[in-house]
Amino acid sequence: MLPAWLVLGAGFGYLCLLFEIAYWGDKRADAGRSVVASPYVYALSIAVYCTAWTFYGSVGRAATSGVDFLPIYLGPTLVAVLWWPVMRKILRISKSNRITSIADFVASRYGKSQLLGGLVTVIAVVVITPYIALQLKAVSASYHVLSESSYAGAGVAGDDAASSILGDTALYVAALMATFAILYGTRHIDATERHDGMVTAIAFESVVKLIAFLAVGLFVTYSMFDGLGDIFSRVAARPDIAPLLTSIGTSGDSGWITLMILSMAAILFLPRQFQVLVVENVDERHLGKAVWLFPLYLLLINVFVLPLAFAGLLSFEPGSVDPDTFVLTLPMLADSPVITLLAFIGGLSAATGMVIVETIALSTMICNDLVMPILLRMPWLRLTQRGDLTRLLIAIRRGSIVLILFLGYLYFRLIGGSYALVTIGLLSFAAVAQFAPAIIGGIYWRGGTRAGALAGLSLGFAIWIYTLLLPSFARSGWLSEAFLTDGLFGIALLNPYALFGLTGFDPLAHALFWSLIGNAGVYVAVSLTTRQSPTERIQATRFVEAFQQPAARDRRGLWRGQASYRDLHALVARFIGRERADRAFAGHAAARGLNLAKLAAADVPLLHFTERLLAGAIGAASARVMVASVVKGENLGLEEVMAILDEASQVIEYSRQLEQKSAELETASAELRAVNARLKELDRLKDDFIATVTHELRTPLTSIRSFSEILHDNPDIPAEQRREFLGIITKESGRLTRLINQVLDLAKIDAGRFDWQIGPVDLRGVVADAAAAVGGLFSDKSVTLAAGLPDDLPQVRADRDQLMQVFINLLSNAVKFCRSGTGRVAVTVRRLGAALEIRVVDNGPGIAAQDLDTIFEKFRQVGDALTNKPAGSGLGLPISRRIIEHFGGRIWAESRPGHGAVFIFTIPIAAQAQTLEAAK
Amino acid sequence: MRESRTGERLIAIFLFGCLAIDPPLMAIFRTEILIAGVPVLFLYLFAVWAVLIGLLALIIERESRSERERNVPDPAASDE
Repeated sequence: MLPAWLVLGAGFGYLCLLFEIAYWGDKRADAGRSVVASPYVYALSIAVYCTAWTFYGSVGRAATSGVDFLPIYLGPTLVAVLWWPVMRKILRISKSNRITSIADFVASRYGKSQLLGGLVTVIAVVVITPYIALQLKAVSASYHVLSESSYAGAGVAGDDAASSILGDTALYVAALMATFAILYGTRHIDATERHDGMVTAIAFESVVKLIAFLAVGLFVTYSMFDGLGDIFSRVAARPDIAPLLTSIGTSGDSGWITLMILSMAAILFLPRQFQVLVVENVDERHLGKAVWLFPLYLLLINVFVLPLAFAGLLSFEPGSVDPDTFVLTLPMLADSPVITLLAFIGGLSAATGMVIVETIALSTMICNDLVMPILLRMPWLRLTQRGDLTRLLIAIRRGSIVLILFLGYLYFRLIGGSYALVTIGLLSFAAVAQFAPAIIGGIYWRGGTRAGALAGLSLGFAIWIYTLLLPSFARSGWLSEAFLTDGLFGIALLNPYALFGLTGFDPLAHALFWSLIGNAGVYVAVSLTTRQSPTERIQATRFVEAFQQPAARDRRGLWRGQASYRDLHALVARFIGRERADRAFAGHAAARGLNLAKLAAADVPLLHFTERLLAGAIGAASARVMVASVVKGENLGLEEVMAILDEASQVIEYSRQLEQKSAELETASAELRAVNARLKELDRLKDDFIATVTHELRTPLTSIRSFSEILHDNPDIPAEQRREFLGIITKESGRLTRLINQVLDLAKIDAGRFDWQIGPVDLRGVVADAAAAVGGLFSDKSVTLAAGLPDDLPQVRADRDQLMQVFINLLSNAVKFCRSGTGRVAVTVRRLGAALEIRVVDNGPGIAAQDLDTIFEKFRQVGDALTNKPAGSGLGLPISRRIIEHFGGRIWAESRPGHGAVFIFTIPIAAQAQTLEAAK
Repeated sequence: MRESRTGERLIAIFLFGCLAIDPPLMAIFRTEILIAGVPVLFLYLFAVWAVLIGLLALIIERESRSERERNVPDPAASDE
């Protein structure tokens, strides 16, 4: 009904206006008065969420199943509630890491993994292609509806596919969109990766599509019908469509919930949403306004969806017009060319906005996370040494944009015909939801590992392909229909719509259930069983703790090597151009008070700045590789960081120290225990000593006292007996004196206060005197003493009196144990180096082996103390030992029980005696 | 302190929203009665939606106003 030239002219004119607005936006930004720096522009740009799918598809869906188009907008509303806590964190992380796309975000979180970035990019491209096809289909279909003379049967996309490629409007639409995206999306490579012109244009488009839709809605409701009440009451009167008023969709409760979940994921993780929400964000505070403005926008654009759907159903015969085109065909029916054209422009703007942002976002991902990492890995390209790479980067991005649109067009030509708009969109949403576990887990759970994210994403994507993409191919006739009904290879358990026998869900809910369960499950399971590399650990901490001490986090980093400022500058200049590099470094230097002219070696903050600068242009993973190519000694750095950061190693070190300390403690306590035992023993010995001394003193004292009493009480005792008693008293007194002297001597020696008279002593004289002193004992017991010594003995160094004491002790000891009559005691001497060895041999009963040492302790007398108590104090041998040891000799006993005992001691020869001998 | 309250309030609203538009609860409103010419189900959904947006606007605007108030003295303080 509208002439083709008018439709084409309006469309072309609208796109030209868009170019103009984008150009103006860029100009303003260059002049430093960016229109993008406003929360309202930010909120409007987020409305790029509403595509041609919203514009045409919602009405179509409402006309077939009632309100179940709404979850697609209620979900984002609910998520917007959580933007304040969740999205602000993602924003903060992205700004401090210069994230340029969602692939970059995932790669960066999991240790700047190029593999992960590449995987996310591939998934995004595969997933978004049908979505772009959907937009092309919508624009192409709307053009056909308008230009064809009759709207009956219009918009059935199969017609487009049948027409020749050159006559296909979708191709020209695609080409125009590519031109726009190339012009405003890849004007230059910038470290911030923001596109002010594009955002301005997108915000403008959001206004246009809202106004257009509201205009159509108001026109249809109040001009064609008598308001909302009129439409709904007429529907209620029609039994064939009245159930739509209470329906929540053909797939019931599970379908509703599935749509909510899908749209929640989509608003966060669609590449274009990430682009406008995160990458194009100028100021974190703008998010606040967007949180409620964006849902308000969604509410407004949906208000007239139901009235339009029902108006369409009431106005057209069932099946005569595709409900997806009601937005256009209703104004056409009312013969209103202005509203019709407005509707067409609105749909066009919805489609172009989406395609432009999506292709720009995808081209950034393809360039930074797919192509550049591969090119940089090809050593023969020598990219790391080439001069200016900005043109290469721009060329890659432009190529990517063309490629994406071409793929979208291809999908539209080959498959698009068999599906309604909404179904294609939901297919993409289900795949985008696969990013959720890796991203949400990544910012709240430090333990998520690269391997876990890789495994989860791969599995989720694989299940999506199997349960949604392949069936869509089967429906288009590319695969056998048997795949849908009987499952792969005819195995019922592998039925893509009832995997492992799970039935009762619609295909979408079924696919979402299996893919998200598999994805999240594997992500968690693999994360729990793998270890993070040091880079992963640092990135994980940076992401999870984004709100805590952001400044401190920045400084703690990976770079520990050396790089010159000139190298870094050259590197950055190759990617973003010399001028921009100059400006960026000058700004950094000014902020930190550095003098670039004098700066030779780059410090760590400068390295970080360079990495982030490059990350903005070529993505985090590639930036890391590039900076690493300039930094020397970086590999060592990683190991050091490992040592610093590895909590485990710290714990091990700590526990090792603890172990060492406890071992030391144990040794010390063992020593203490030994000392304590020795002290106790000494204490016991002291007690024994005192007890024994007291006992030994009491025995003679008692006899002295009793004999004295007898003499005192009986003055008439016979003289002989009196003399005998007095003799005993004298003897006991002598014994007492001796004992006391010995105790005193022992105490003196022990205390080191004994008055020694050390000098050369003639051994022969000493032995002769001692033999004379004990001669009485020997003759009393008729024991023979052989004490004849050779006369050429050298003098020894000793105290004469004490040495004699030793001889007396040993001899009286020996005689004590000898049997009277047959007893024999001999004293022999022999020379032993610088000492003399003296032996006192007896033929008594001998000493048991275990007693050989103890006899030298105080009061240790051998034998049963009660029945066979030998005479003597028990102090003789201990005193002898102390005396000999004081002289520098040694004393010990040897014995074979039954064959007598030998007491042996050594005494050093006097010095003069030695020199005398030497003189001889 | 105040920020964490905002977060708590938002999470509460989120949960309220999830509850309000879950299918079992919506079943109550799936009747053929029209109020002011509009089906109850549609009215209910859009009303819940509008209430959510209103609450959000209220909380967020209050939060950002108090944030601005907190931030206003800042530049002066740092200049000194």
